[in-house]
Amino acid sequence: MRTNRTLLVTVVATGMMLSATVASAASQSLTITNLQGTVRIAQDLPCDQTVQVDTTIQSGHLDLAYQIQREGVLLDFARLDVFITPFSVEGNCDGVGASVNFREIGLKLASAVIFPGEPVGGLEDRLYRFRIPKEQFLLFESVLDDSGAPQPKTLYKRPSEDVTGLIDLGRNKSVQLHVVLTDEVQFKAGCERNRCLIDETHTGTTTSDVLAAVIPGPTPPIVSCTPTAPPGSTFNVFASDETAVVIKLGTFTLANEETFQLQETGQPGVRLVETSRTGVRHFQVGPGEAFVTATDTEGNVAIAFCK
Amino acid sequence: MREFLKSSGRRLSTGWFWPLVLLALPNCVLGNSGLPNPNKFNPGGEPLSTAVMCDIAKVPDPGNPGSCANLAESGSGMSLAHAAVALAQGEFNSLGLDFTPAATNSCNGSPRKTEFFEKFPDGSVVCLNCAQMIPAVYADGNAVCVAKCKELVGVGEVQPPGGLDAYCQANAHVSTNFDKTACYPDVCSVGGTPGAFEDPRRTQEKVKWSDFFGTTAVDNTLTRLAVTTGDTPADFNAGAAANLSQNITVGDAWIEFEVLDNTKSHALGVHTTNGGIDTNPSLTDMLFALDLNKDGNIYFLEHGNQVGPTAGAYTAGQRFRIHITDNNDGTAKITYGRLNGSCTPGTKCLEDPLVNQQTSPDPAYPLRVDASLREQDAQLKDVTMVRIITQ
Repeated sequence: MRTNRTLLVTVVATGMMLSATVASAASQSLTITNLQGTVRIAQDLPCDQTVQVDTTIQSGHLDLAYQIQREGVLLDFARLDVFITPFSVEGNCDGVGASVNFREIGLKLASAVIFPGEPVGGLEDRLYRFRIPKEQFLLFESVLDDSGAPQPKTLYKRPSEDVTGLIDLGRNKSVQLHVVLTDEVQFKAGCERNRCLIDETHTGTTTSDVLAAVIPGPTPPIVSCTPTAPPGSTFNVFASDETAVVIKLGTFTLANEETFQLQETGQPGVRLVETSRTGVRHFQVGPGEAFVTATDTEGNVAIAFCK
Repeated sequence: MREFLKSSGRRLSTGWFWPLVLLALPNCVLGNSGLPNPNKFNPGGEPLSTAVMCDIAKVPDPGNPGSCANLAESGSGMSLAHAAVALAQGEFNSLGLDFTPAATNSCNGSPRKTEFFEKFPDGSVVCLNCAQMIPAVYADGNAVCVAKCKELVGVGEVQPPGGLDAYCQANAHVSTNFDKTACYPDVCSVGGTPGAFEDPRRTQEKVKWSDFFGTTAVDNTLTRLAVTTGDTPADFNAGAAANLSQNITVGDAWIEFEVLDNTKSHALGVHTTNGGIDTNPSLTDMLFALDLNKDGNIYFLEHGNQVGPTAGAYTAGQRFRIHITDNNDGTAKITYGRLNGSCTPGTKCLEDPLVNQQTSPDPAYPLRVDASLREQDAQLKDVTMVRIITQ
């Protein structure tokens, strides 16, 4: 028996916890691992039966690039892989039992999609709603079961409705994804030559509900600007964070633990006056500009005044 | 037939879970065909845990046969020339942009775009049983990519005007810096779905030193053996160059290094190579170079001459980068930077630019890493590079 069974591909809403890297190029890129969520499969069967399975997203990976624009965001789902937690379906009929064990169910976005997101709330919230036309969302499914076939059953499919979701590109980056697939499953049994005892096709309504999950972003960096002994116009800057940080005095980048000279003047702005033979840079700053900032890769900023 | 099925249905509906019983019967099919797949890719039998990384281009929009990028796409896509650096920094996009004159001339100044089936420059992860299928079924990684291309394009609604075979032969190949004769192990599940894996292409390539003059190398660290002859520019008379197989022929790249101490003088840079032995261990053939001098300061060199003021002091162990940015006209812009803190492969690391005052024209490809050392025991440590490796 070929159990080319693919009722499981109804993935609705995927909440993704992320351990992310953010890079800046023409657009920014975000890698999200540890996808979570639930999958509900409901498939009509012959004999007026329905099988319903609730399972979960076991693991996954999402790579997306994005470019925040004035009117919203341009999103690029460049890679999406999901593993669904394996499950078994079993039952019996008048004392005769049977079962199918799914060893592995993998889903992969077969074709990257680029689509716009529209802001929800204020632009500063960086929260966007999106809708991906179902024609553009091509999925590749690979299933291993206990049928003993040496090769997984694979097929391509598209959702039965537009994929919708919500993406948070603010501090707590997260993605919610809602995908619904509908399958036409053909059942044949007891076949001999051209006749089958059972030959029925059921619109396997595989409906799904998947949950979204969010984890907090990293804490902001810590930065200090302390006068060197004896106190005067020379300071030392120190910053730390879970990720790398950029330290700035005005538009000038400072090295971590750099010692520099600072002189307040009446002229606004930050200027590099000279670099000493020992490499100590001497800056002049305008009123109220004697402070440094530390920015981490998530865009979190900390400030320290040099006094 | 209908009557037969009806009667069968009545007869069979007595059980609670009759369909499952069917699973145990011979001649049974429980089928879901999915989308038509006339060119099904053959990955081999289990396990499908190895992978080939492929760049597979989508069929261009018939309404935009020239594939010219619009303004938004020009701002959001990634230059094809940026591929190796993007790999090393974990950057990606599914939209590649060609800024070469041939492309921009045909697009009224805009770049030509290529939409990939998966992220660029990493490539599509094509899972298969490599040991079983290469070379028995597919000659190499490129053949795998072509076969997968036929499947993917065949499933789609837009078919290439010139035919599927010709299209995939021209538009599918192994992705940036993937060796077409190899496969990556443990990338995919047994069933052939990609999982988490460490892409080895994110790790920088070690420079293989060659053409030694008064120097020696252990791994990718170069040391001057020759006795110091003086402290003038002419005394940079010992050196080496990277192996010719490591020429930088196209695209963005960088060379990264540090020095053992800041009381000796070290110059590292690039020259345009003619493919021959580098018989010049001095500074004079180095078109652009960074000099970490024995006075503890950083200097910029062009053709062996100092250009502009010092970029300030340096200390041993600080890592520097010489950046090569493709101008898309056969030449490259050279810039410099110093890493600020530790750096993890596959991430964009903090870097402080070292601003130089360039006076010479940008150098032409192919570029070769070139080094010169002045004092005995001067050492360029752990010299690495990122570049597009042409196969």
